[in-house]
Amino acid sequence: MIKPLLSICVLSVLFSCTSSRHVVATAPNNNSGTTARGPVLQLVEKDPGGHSVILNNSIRVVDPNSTLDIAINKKNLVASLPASATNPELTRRLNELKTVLEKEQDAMRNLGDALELFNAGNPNWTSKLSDLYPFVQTILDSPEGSKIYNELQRRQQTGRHILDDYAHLFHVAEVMVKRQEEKIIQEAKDKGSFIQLGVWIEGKNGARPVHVPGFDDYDPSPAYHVQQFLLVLTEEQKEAVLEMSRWSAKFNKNGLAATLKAQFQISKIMAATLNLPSVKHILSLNDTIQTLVNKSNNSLGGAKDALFGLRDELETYTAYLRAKFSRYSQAEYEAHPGDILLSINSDVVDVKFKTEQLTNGFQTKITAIQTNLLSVQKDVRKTVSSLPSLLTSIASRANYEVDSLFNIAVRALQTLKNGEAYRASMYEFTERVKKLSLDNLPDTASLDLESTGTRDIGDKLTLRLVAGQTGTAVQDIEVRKYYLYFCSPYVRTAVGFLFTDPVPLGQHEEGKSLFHYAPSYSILLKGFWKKPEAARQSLSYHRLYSPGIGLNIASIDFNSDGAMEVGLGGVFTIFNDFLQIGYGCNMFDGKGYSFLGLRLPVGAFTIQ
Amino acid sequence: MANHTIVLPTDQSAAQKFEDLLWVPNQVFFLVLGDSPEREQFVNNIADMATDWRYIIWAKHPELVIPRLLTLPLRPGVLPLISPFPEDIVGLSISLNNYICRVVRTAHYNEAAQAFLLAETFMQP
Repeated sequence: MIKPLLSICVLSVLFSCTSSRHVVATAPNNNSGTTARGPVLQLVEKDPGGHSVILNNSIRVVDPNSTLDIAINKKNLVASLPASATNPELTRRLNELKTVLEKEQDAMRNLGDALELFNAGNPNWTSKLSDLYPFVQTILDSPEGSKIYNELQRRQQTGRHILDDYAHLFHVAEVMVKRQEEKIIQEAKDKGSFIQLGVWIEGKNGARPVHVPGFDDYDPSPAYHVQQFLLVLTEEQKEAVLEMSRWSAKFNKNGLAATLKAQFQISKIMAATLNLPSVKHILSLNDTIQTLVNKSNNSLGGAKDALFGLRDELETYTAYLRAKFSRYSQAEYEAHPGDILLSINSDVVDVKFKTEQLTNGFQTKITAIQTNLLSVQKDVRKTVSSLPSLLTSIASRANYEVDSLFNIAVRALQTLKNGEAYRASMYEFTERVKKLSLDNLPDTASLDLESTGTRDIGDKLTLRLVAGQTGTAVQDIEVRKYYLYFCSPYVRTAVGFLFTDPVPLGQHEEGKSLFHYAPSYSILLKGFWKKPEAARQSLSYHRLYSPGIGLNIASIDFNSDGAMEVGLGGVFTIFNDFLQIGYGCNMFDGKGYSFLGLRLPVGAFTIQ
Repeated sequence: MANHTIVLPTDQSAAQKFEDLLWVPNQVFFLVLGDSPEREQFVNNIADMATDWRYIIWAKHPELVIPRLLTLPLRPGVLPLISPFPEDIVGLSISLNNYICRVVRTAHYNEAAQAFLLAETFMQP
């Protein structure tokens, strides 16, 4: 009975020693990392209130006025160097050894279990022990590991040599990792490899690089503090209110259905493609050629090959168009509007390319048809002879029209704010970002977001750490993306187009339309629905739901006398204020009203 | 000397004794070969690591066990043992399933420890 008890005691002593070493060796893997080797960038956010938050894997949001302390974990950096920056075999071996160290605690636990089971006479002890074989093999099957095992002085005698032998083994692994890191650093130096760190802020107007002390030669931007409690309307919002005011006047006068012919242009772009005159011409030309080819297979003479080729190309093109846009013919899209927009943009670019490709090929066909026109039988010659001019006209017109369509799509895309897609081209390093070797790479940097210039909530902060060599493209080691939002209570204004109902919900007043329409704005308290910790982790909380409550002020005209009245009410908003519901009171006659408001994207609608 | 150290007879019965040991379950061996003051010193030095499943066998007359050693399978990476048996081999470790797992040519404490580590964790086949 003494032996197992003794072994438990010794094990607990050993675990306490090894586990503390383990934590150091593996470094808490609580930051978001792009590699299994642990994060290279270790970021701590200090918000204006003095609170520090480790930006670990689950954090997606940072305060727009905070300071980021950036630390570079050089051990993880060395292990994450791309093949181009060092000898890949060295890196592979380093990561193999680091894996051994990371598993030390598990291995020692297995060993302890094996001893317990063995002493209890349980034959399963062997399976516990066999789990350690990969680690033992990784170290001891290498001549270097075996040599270090012999050379290193045993730093701890536990009085129980099986345990001591394994503790010594992991000590050897530590030494091997250090030596391997030194080799890699030397190798990278010999190859002229460098590291660059770039940071960008991406807002409505695209991405711009910002200064990180020690890592670039950019000048700091003028200090800018994002207002946490913003009670006044922005210029953009003021314009929206004016526009909505015009809408509501028309709607109240003529009725909604008769006035509003709003088209969400984006969703119509693709439908419009198939209705472009040139595309229609191409589709009808396809029919003509098809008929011609079917009817006059043997009467096309020397133009036969050109016409058959044209038929095939037109068929391919029209099939492509129909397939490409079939999904846009659906009444409703399930995708997020932003995704649809990106998809449309990509499709339009594709159509542009395919159309150019098709029409560029027309010239050869035109020449072939013209050259061989006399060999075409008389009954179809007239139709065939008209083709060259038709093709020429279609070619120039199609390219012009598709270009116009492309421009519309590009403009529509520009209205999309804060697109999710990571566009690497936006995050290119300029000459002003320093190329730092591993041995002169700063360990830390402090990035004060207030020194990054004008920005707003919803902007994106991107940190990109790369490695490269002169003359070759850099490769990402780690990319971090955060969105700037307040995670504590803040105030924002929102403009809304109200559908007000001055009588109890759903009831009609004789001779009155169901709704009165009114422009309005709300002063909203936001950011208090989740605790700061949770708010930092949820992107949908900020970007999709972003609920708010507050005061709604509406300009209404319930008695339709043309003189505007003021309504004041409480409002709850959700979906980034796109949906607003509340109850208010006409301050002139004291009548209550319920309302539903929408934050309409003014620029996306046309009113005829 | 701990009871986990087994000295084989110096007569012909050593082969049978060795064979019997190979079939004892739950034992991993480090076999020391040779009879000299240095070997004896080595056996004494490493005796404290022979606990639990670890056993040390001392074959003072290696020629009595070598024929059987030459028939044992080898852990991947271990160089084949061929006759005549190399004289510089100080010892070797044998796994639970009687695989030779590490051949040791230096009478060093840590060499024996490594041999035990490989033998006790290697469970093939």
